[in-house]
Amino acid sequence: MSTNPFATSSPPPVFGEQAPVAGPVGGAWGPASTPLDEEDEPFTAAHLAAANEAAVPAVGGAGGGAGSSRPAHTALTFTESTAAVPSASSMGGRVGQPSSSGAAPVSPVPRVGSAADQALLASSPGPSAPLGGNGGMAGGPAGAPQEDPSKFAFYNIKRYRGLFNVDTSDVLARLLHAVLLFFRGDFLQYTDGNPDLYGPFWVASTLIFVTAAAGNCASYIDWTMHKPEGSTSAGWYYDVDKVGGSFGLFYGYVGVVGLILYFVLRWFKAGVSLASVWCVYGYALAAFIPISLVCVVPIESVRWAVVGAATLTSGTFIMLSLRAPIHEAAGAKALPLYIGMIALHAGLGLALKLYFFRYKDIPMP
Amino acid sequence: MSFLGGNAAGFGASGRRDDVERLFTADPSVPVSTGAGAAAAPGGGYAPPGSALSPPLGYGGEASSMNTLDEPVWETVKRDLRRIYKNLVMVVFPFKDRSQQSAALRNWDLWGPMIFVLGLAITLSLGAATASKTFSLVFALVSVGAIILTVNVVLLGGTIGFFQSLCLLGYCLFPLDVAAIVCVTTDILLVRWILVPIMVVWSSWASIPFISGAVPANRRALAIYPMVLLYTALGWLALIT
Repeated sequence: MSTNPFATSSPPPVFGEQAPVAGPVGGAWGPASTPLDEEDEPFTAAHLAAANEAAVPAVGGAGGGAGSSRPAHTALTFTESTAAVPSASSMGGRVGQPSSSGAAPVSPVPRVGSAADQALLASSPGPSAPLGGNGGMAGGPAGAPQEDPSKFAFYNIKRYRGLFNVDTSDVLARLLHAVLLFFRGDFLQYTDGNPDLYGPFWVASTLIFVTAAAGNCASYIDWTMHKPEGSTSAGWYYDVDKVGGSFGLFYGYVGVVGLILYFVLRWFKAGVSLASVWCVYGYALAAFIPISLVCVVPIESVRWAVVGAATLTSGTFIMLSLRAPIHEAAGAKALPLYIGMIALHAGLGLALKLYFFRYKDIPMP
Repeated sequence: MSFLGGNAAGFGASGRRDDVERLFTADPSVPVSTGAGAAAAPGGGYAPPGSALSPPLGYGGEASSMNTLDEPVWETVKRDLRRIYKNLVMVVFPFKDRSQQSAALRNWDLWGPMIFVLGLAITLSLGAATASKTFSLVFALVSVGAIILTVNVVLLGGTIGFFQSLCLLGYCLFPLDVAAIVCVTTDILLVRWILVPIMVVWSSWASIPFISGAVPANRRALAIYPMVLLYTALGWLALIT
């Protein structure tokens, strides 16, 4: 999906070496320019040059972007490189939206940071990793169409816009990728250094509502099937505790387990940001949403089969997505970690089935 | 009118004002009305005659006028109720155009939302087995949900007034209040199953344009979906009472 030849992360100095390869095509690029600038500027210019050159034949709409990136090579200012970034990143990471210039006001600056985040992913955990794209931004925001989110104070919510830098099509694509293409295990590369927290939070919220609703539906169906003759529908009351339990279960699973896993990975020196861990866990839960709707059916074997299938697919998704960073950081020592993750996920599936959908042979109070 | 025009300009200007200030751009609801038509009579009634100062705020806040501080309590309450009704009509029934709705939201107030939230929570807890849990659930769901929705819009890159958004989401609970009252009073499933979806759709229809106008075009669905989720959850709570 990504046409970015530099998608697999390399530390910035490599770009200086690769620049001569793209040099003849890249125009007036002085090698003298690279050592003078800040760490991310030659990175972004080279990144843009190569990405633009690689993809210009493919995307006609990026002709303006390619044109504007020429002056970026010579001037190497932050502004022009950010102006060209939307076209580069739109060719790289978007799904089916070549003309994503509508997102230009928000995407340029975080995208630059996200490209830098790729380097962070491979080389070091990075102290600013939890903020995803914000850590890599060094240049000033002069002339950028939108303010640099990292210049806001930590209590200002605008600072965290970099974590919500996704469009509707992105979210839908990530959902499909997580639920249907769970066996691929390339989710971290797919999100391309731009993990979002919109998906995890709203998938968990939707799941809370859906399981509470479906659980109560199942309880109502069970009640109507087993009620004594002659009683009216007023005899059934919904269980409000289930909603509270849902909240704790799903937000807790994504939030707390994700946090613990992040700290364990930090301890192993794996370069995964907290936002990426939350992103993986959050989108994995999306598999349970259709399952909850199916679980209204009052047949135990169907419920068990369906919950088991969802647990397997989402568990596989989590394991495969996080396998690469864990493996390269911890190797054989990661076995207890794998076992822990699998056990927790199985626990989630079990809790889902037993807490929300266990009604078959219980006499109603 | 001029200060409202100034507010409109302030609301439209992006990035030049202080961030905190931008979150609370508009003045709270003031007695002098903005919309045409229905606003004329109440608006004229309590503007201080020929006053160049800001019109009196509702709750005896500013000392610039002596009228509202000295008036009987019943007058104050009546005026507030009239304003809530007026805002309600403009926000929830924007049939003619949306400009009335924007005008009403520029003069946001939180009394209306509070009344509707309390009404909804009380109504739903009347029909539930555990009244206090239901009440807390509904109240927390609406209040925290409205805040989260506003934060969601800002995080997606949109610009929205914080209290204006709370005001809108609160007023748009009115159809759900109606649905809740009907669901508590009747046991006929058919009535419930027809009425609740209609009310949910109405609430969403009233508030979607405001929310979707605040975010970039390719993120509209991301901003709207949580709001629809909230109203659906409340409608479901009314349905199963």
